Amino acid sequence: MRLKRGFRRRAGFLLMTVIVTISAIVATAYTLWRLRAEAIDRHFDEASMYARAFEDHLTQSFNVIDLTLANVNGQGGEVAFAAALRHAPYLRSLALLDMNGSIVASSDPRNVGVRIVRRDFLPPTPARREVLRAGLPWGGRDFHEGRSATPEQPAAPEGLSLIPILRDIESVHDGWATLLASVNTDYFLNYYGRSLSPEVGVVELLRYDGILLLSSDVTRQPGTRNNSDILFGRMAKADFGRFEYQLGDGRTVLTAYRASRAYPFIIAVHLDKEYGLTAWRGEATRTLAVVSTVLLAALALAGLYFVRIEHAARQHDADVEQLRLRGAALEATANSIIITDRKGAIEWANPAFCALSGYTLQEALGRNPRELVKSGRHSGEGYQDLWRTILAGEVWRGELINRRKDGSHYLEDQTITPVKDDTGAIRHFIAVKQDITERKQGEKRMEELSRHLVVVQESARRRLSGELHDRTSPNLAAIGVNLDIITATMLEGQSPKLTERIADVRALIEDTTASIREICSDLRPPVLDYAGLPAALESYVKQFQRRTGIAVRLDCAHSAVRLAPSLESMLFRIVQEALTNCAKHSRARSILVLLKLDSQPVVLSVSDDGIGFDPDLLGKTTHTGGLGILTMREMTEFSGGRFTLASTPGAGSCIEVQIDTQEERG
Amino acid sequence: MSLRILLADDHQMFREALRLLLERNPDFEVVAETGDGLEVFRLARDTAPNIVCMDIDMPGLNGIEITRQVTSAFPSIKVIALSTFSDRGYVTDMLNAGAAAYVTKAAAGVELLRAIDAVRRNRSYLCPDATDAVKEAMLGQGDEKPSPGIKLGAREVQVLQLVAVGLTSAQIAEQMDIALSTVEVHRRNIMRKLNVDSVVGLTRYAIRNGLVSN
Repeated sequence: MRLKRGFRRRAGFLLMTVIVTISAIVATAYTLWRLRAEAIDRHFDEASMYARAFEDHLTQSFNVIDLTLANVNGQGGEVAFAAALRHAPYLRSLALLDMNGSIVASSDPRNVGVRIVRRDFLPPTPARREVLRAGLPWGGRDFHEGRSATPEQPAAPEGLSLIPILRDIESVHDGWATLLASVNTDYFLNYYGRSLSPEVGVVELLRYDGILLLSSDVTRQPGTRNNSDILFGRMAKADFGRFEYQLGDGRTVLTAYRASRAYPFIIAVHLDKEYGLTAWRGEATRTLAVVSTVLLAALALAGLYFVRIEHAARQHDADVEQLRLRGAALEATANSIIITDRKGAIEWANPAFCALSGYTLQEALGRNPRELVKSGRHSGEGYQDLWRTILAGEVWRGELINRRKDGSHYLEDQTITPVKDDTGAIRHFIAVKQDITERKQGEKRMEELSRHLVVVQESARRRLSGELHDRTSPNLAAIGVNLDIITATMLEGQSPKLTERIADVRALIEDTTASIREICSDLRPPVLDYAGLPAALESYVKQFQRRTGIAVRLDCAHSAVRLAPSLESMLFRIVQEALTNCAKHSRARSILVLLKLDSQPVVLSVSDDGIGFDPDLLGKTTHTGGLGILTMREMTEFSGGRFTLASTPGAGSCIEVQIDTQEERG
Repeated sequence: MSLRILLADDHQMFREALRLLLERNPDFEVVAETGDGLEVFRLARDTAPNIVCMDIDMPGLNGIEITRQVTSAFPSIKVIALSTFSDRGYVTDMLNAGAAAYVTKAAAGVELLRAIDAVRRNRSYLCPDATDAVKEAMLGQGDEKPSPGIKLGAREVQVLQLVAVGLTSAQIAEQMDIALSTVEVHRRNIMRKLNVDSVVGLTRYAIRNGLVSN
């Protein structure tokens, strides 16, 4: 059960950790992906911006070319051409074509005679119209030293190239004339190079039909038609747009294109995707580093926290187990136990209480024990004392007569313990009770039996002593007297041998008499009845002294005072017991017996200068030790007296008996 | 003129033993005997004895009370108390009641004759045990000295001498040709009479009283 709970806890933690980690990774990945998309988007925007700017420039340039061509006087010859070219850096040369497409006049005379294929030009308007038409690019600086590039035979890479432009001009004098301009590609490439670094991107100028007119990438050959299918696919839909495609060398580029508003050209700007993503990569790397650091730190902290939680949880489990165990013990115990709040309302009671009181737990909860079990057999003062004690934070112990649910009374021994919180304020009370009705009855019976035993014993002693005294002693005395007579008779007959024997017999009688006297005085000294306690003690003490060699002093004022016979015999027995104890255990050299008969209460004390003992260990070291003390205590208590014992190891011991004889008489 | 004696004791065998003892002396005449305390006064009045041997513990009326009545009614009658006990209370009470002598029954034979001898000459007499008790009453307790009046029997002197020269009880028994327990009995009696509780005490007494040469 506990293991399973622990396993579930750990599995839960692991699952949570995995979920959080995956979430963090997914969120990070999503963010990075979004950033990347944004970076690409931005890059596309950049490409579009370039494309628009270049298209703008291109269109304006060609507007100017258009105007230049429109204003050239075709018949002006070389001079007119040179004048027109003076302010047109984007043109290399101007020429006039005849009806067959051959150059008849040019700003560069070397071009005369070069033949131009008119159908290569776009837009392919058959009629003569005043529009600019763009031809296939030519490799070389000018017409005379170049040739027209075709997809099959493109212009040489890294070489000069030009774009031929045609414009038909309606002349008022002699009808239509056709002007041919050679557009300087370097002019545009320079412009593009200034705006856009070659490392960042490539700018290409294409004709509608996909022929490359010029490219800032020197490796691209004008006149080719490479990779233009996608472009044309898109261009069919819109005049401008953007897309991504892979170059032949494996690089991916972001391309934005824009068709010229008035001329058959398309500007395409290819930005290197990798270049555009550089910033993003740096950002991503940093983000990843930060996120992974934070994630690891978070995991480590969570791990630590979990270990602590786990520890606490285990502790908690162990505590719960302990509590359960203790709870079970409380449930199982035969003593009845109740727990109340500080006002006395029952919060819990164990089955033993329910069995004892007759109330169910439900009936008892929230009630005050006062209402439930108070018998009314005690005075208010008793309860006040109880409450004073426990409210002072002390343990109260005592006996109470309580009432069962059925109204019958029972006697219980109760211990009430206040339970305090950290601040020392009382929170609860725990009462442990035990039904001692039977025990009390047993004790009472035992006490009666003991008392009876003492009485019986005393009477037996008295009878035995009387018998010995009344019969045996006089018999021995008579034998003695007879022996004296015999001896006297013998002396006259002179029989020494017999005389000796008779002397021995006499000695035997004497010894027997002495021992009987001692036995009598031990059993029940007749002098006790006759002359009272002091006299009896005096002869007993004398005899004891002779027997044991221990000096005993009897101090008794007012020896004429007589007590009740039972008291006298009890006190005599106590002295007997005390002296016997001293002789057996104390190794005392002197004993003082003190008797105060005239005081109230009557006091008897016996103190010795022996080795003493620890009263707490009484009866624990040897199994017989303490029996004498117990006997004295019981005898005293049966007579309603108070018995006290004081002893210190090494400093002798003292017993004291106090009996209130007034009460005895009353 | 013979001495008239009244015996008052509830123990008949003892009474008879006493009568035998006394009648061995032709001077003594036991004029009456009784075991009933209530009869003693009547007999004393009717028989006019010189001496009453009075037991203390008698049915009817106790010896002390009878003594008081008899001595106050007939001052010429001497009362010798005979008792099992030598406790101080008995001795002093009896003497207060008017008894002239006090003898313990254990020492009844010889001591009683000594007491009679003393009282007929108008002296009082206490047997050694009673002397001790009275002395204690006057001096207080703790007197360990044996009374000067102590008399050891011939057998006891014999045993004491042997003890004093260092013989063990077994050796004494062999030498005296008696049982070991008898020797022990003698020793106990001696010790009790001398009020000593050791061999050293016995030896010291023997030397002091010239029973052995030093």
